[in-house]
Amino acid sequence: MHAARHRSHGPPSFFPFLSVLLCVLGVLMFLAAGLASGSLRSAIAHIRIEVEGSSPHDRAPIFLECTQDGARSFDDRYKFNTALEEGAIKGAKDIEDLKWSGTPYTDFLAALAVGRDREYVVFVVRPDGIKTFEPLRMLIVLRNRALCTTSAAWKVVDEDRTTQAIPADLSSKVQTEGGVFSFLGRMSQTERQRLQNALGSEAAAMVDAVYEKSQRAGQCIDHGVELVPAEWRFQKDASGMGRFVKSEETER
Amino acid sequence: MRNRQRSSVMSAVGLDSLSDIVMNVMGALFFMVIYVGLSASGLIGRITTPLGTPSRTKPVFLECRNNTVFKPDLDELLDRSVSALSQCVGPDFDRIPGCEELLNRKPLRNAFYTARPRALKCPGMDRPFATAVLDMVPGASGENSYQIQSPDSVLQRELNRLDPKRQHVVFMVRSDSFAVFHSARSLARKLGFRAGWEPFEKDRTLGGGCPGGIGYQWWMPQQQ
Repeated sequence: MHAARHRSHGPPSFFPFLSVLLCVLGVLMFLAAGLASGSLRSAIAHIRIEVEGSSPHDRAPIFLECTQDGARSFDDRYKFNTALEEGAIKGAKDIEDLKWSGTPYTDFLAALAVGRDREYVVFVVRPDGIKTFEPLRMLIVLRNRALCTTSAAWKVVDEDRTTQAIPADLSSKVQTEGGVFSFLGRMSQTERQRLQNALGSEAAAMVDAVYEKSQRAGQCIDHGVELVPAEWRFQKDASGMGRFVKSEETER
Repeated sequence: MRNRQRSSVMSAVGLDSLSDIVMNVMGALFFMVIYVGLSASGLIGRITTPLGTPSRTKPVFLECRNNTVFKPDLDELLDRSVSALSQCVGPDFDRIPGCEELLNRKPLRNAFYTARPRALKCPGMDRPFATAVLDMVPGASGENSYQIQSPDSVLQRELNRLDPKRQHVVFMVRSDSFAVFHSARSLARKLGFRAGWEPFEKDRTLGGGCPGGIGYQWWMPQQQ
């Protein structure tokens, strides 16, 4: 009797328990998979700044990190205090008043312009570094206007006469722009002489000025700007370029 | 009775085997999810920054302030302000100080800025150049990093109205809003827009400058 009752119960069935467990696990899996794909991007904790369109074989960027303490490159090769540059910009009434050498930063730019095939600047601006960044960037913009432009403009005494007097084979390099003319590119000694002959003695000094300026043409400095939140901590890595490590607060 | 018992036992055994397989698969998937989660923490993200280049497309200005982003509609506000000053002054430039004072008493405004009209004497220009100083409306803000991810967000709707082939976006980024700038720029790029940006101090007033002056654009900050 006892044995019969025991046999009537049979082996215990786990079916309801397993069904519930499987359902719970299935739901959890869906949740986990959804969260994992959704949060993958925000889980990225390390950020590296790259310049658009560049490749390792291109020119190398010099990253200048701007903070309230000044600007310094990631590899600590360069450190700049901007007080001199800021004073120079505020004190200048005209672009011609600015000097393009004599301070650590302007000397750095001059060297950069010479080696522009190899390097360029990317400003990495921190929230507290805007006042540092502004004069440094402004000097590049102004320097490019003064020295790098493929065209530089000078007033002409008599526009009509100048326009007509330009030799035909030089006209491709000279264009009129409402009372000024622009010389495009670098002028050779021969071109200088021929232009002076064509324009006459009245414009000789002006042609000399154009010639002098044109010798410095092409010294353009490329630059980029990236804004980096204060929470991103800079960390040097094996590549020497460094990366930023996000803290959790950045995404909150 | 015996048949029913036998069938119950067989079905229980069959389901247990299936459960084993399913549980094993589940376990493997769990390991995969854990692995992905752990490896994600070691991923290196990349932000690409372009070198400064001129663009032929028209800029549309967005502002990041109070760690939110919005479209401040500066063009429209500036146009209204300049138009009001021009109408007040008319051909008599001696009326400029009076008109400036009059209009400053009740400045034009939108949700984000108030405009104080100004007439500047610019080098090489015979006539005064009408512009405006733009003061921030205190407490004005837009959408945060999370809100802009929604397709119904104001920013996404605004961007969807624009044409990436004709327009590019320029972010005016206040120093308290670098984080939201990254989210907004990423979104704009995802929608096909090229982007420019300019950092500003948190409380800096924007002001008009002379056209064509060295280093000036109309929205550049004015030294005060």
